[in-house]
Amino acid sequence: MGTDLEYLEEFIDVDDLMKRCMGNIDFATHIVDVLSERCEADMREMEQALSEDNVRQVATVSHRLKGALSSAAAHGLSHRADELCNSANRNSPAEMSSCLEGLRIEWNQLASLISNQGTPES
Amino acid sequence: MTARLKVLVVEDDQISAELLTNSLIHFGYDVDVARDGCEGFDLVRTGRYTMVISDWDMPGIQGDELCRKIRDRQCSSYVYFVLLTSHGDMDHVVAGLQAGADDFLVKPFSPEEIQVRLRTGERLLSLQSRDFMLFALAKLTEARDNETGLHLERMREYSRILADELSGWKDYKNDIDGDFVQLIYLTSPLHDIGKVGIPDRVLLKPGRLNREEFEIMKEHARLGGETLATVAEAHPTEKYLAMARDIALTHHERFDGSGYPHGRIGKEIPLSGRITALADVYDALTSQRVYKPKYSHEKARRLILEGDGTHFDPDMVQAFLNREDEFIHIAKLLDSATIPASQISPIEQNLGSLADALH
Repeated sequence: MGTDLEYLEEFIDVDDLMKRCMGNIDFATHIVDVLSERCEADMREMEQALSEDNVRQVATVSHRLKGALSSAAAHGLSHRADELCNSANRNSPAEMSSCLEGLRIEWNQLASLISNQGTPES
Repeated sequence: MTARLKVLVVEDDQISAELLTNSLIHFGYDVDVARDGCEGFDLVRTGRYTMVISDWDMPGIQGDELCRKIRDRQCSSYVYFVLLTSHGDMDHVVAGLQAGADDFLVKPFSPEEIQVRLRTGERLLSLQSRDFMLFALAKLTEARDNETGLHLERMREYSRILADELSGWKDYKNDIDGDFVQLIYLTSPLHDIGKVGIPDRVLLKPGRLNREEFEIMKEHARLGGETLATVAEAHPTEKYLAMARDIALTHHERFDGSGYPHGRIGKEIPLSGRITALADVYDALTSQRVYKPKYSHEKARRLILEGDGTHFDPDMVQAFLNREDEFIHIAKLLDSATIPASQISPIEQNLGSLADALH
């Protein structure tokens, strides 16, 4: 399925996203924009919560983020959010830090693609 | 133009909420979104929604708790509740079902899956509407009659008890299953629907009918049976119509062939007709009517035993005896002796035969 969103294919299953959006490219683009806003806000909220040892908040936000990423067909990132959620549920700070760091790196790569419309920052 | 079903999406994650909303609108639903369980419950209380799709994990009221609150509220019409979750494990499924959820959607969901599951919900809701309409139709008929207010409610309970008892008998295993029991509960209230065609001077006569009037009254079985037969013929796959037809037509037939309208004998009378014949008579005997007093269970029992093999199928009588405690319970639970004793004519108070119990 050829779309304007093909530049996101490294992180988002674009065919899957288009199916979830009933083939509406404008709506799919809107979902990517919402994902960009929401995910960044959630990342910051989790980083803040982790710095305050608020494990419960990390678990809550990572669970929500997992669902959002999964719905937006960002399955790799969703898997990372799931790992973070599980580590929070196990109350394992070291694991949480490592998971959150991995999620942050991958999210930054996707965010960069989104903000530059497919041209990664050097 | 068909009204679109109102669906409430309760979801704190904006992306899931927007994707769900977009799919639902595409499939023809009218959608509103609540961002948490509290807002969702407030919206459900408006009574505008027939379906709710709710996320499980939300701040404040969680999805399973929201479902429980809706069920506890006992809304005037059924709300079909789908829990949306990323927890697909058995513990969550059981917890959701215990809370009263009708179905689950596991994230990430596909639009096609949502469509199929909501169509299932629509079928369930339409069945509920069918059941309500059938009972409303029966109550409308009853409203013209002198019979006491909860006759239909008791009658369907007695019919259900008898069918349920027989379903455990070897000889009836092939004829009565859970579906039959549900259908007889649903359709037995329509037994007297033909009374809409009986003139007021006969139907509303506050005393015993003379021969000519009784002949007119007897027509109600044929009228009801033929009316429902027309509908059943047009919809041959609808089993409930066929059963409603049989009940309306044959609930005054007697096992020895002395009943009406056709004088059918023994097993020529459909099973549903033989069941409702006993249920109807028991209720008539144990209820107060303008033409007779209320009899005790013991007296009704004696009169039914007198009709064993003549008026009633012996199997129905035995089923009644096996479950008579439940008949007593229902008669007490749904007692509606609404007619003051002063309205009963002293002459009619002395009538004690089975024939006098029923018009």
